Amino acid sequence: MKEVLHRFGRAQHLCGIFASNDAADRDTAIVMISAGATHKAGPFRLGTYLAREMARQQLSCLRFDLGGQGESRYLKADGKTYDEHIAADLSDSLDFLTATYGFKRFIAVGLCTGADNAHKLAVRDPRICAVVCLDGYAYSTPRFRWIRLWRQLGKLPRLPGVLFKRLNSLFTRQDLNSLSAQDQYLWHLPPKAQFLADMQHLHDRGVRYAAVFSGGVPIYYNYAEQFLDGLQDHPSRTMVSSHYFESANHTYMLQKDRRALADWLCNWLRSCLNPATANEKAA
Amino acid sequence: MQALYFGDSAQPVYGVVHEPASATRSSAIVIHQPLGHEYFRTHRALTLLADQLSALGYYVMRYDYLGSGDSAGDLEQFTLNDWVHNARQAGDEILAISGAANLINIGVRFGAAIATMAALPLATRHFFWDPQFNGQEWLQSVQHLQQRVLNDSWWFRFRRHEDLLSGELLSARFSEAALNALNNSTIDTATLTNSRCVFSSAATARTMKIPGDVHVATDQIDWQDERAIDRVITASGVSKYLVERLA
Repeated sequence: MKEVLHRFGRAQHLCGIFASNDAADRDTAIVMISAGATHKAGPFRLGTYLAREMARQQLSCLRFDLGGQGESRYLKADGKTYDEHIAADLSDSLDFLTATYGFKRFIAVGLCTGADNAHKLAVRDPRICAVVCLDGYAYSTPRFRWIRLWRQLGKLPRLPGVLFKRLNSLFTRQDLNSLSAQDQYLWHLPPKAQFLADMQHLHDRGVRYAAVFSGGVPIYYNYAEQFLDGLQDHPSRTMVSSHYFESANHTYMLQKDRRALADWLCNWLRSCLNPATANEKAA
Repeated sequence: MQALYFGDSAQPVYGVVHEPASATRSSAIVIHQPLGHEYFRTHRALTLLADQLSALGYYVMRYDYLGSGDSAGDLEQFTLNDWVHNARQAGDEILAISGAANLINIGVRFGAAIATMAALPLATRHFFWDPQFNGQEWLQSVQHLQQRVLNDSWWFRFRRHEDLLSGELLSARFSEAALNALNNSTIDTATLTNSRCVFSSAATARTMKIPGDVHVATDQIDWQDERAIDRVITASGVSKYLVERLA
């Protein structure tokens, strides 16, 4: 495994680390998209860990700072919105990997806001052949609501405190100005119709989709089959893999959890490159 | 800013040099980041601080200790001596790049102790932000914090205490040798010279017995808040103080 530091982008404003291995696939590379305000090492170094594990398993991976994070500059003067900047930075990363290393296809991987950006990149860029969303989009289902209700009933002894907080929040004005700075680090769930249209588009292009969830987002995901249940009988189900690491937290803080995530992820990524050998190599 | 690797090419240290538009200072600055999970909390604040200081005409170096951030290896492969050595390498590197005559240290949390242990020969001034000069105390505080995180159903729905690997502390895994070295590392704060401390809150300042010049900012950072261990901080009060002092 070796790592090379690069500066790239339309204004040489982006900084990233390319991890690879002499025996790695030369056709497809992985692009790891940073989450929120974290830099390319990722929360608790999850990004560094996953990229190196991928490289050890013959998967080339670029992890980089989006403009304005870590060592990458935000190009203020070019008149783009923040979302347009992110889109342009992501395109730059693919262009760079093609120009420098000759890769033709890409797999986008992201956690949280990184998952949001990975999904959007996959929809708009035909060079993306697969996408991994860690705690990305998911939609409420009847079973989700039942589980949530059941868990809330288990918390009945704490009800007075919860009611007090709810009442208190009704009379407390929210400072919208203070939210705006944080807002760019949050993602917004698109309407389900939009999501299904995206999935149809990805299906038509043959893009594979991994929806991986941790136990750290019970507010919108609480059982293993929820993502697939949300798709119901949509044609895109056939190209979706879903996995639920129920005991892990959102950032896979425990070493044991990130090991399990890396194993699942590398196996799935290899299956995208060469479906026949994925399980064999993992074994 | 310019990212670079330095040190042993087989195990390079990742550093970032914030270059001034015009170098007007005879000193360069080295920022010694915290260890463990605190590195991630402060990373953005220190990046922004380095930008502000370079705008004042300083060359500024940030670096990641071996086994952390973007540097080579895993934390458990290294010990305190390696991280102190990285601090010296970072000092040498920024002196070579900038041509500065001397250095200013900014040490954050246990990075303050590492900066002091490194005893960079040309370091003439030292600034410490919420410093931790006692390795044993710092380890114990992180161990307690980890226990509270593991006991908190907001973080984990299931009991996970048995899943911790040896030496694992809030996602960072320290070797036995590193834990021993940290447990035995103490800086006598009475010996600190040409140093100033800035605390992000009065509560943090009360926990430390630092003699000399101390400033208390109003950032209200609680390092022991188990709900905040992955929260990125900006520490504008601390940064403002440091920038004013170095202007």
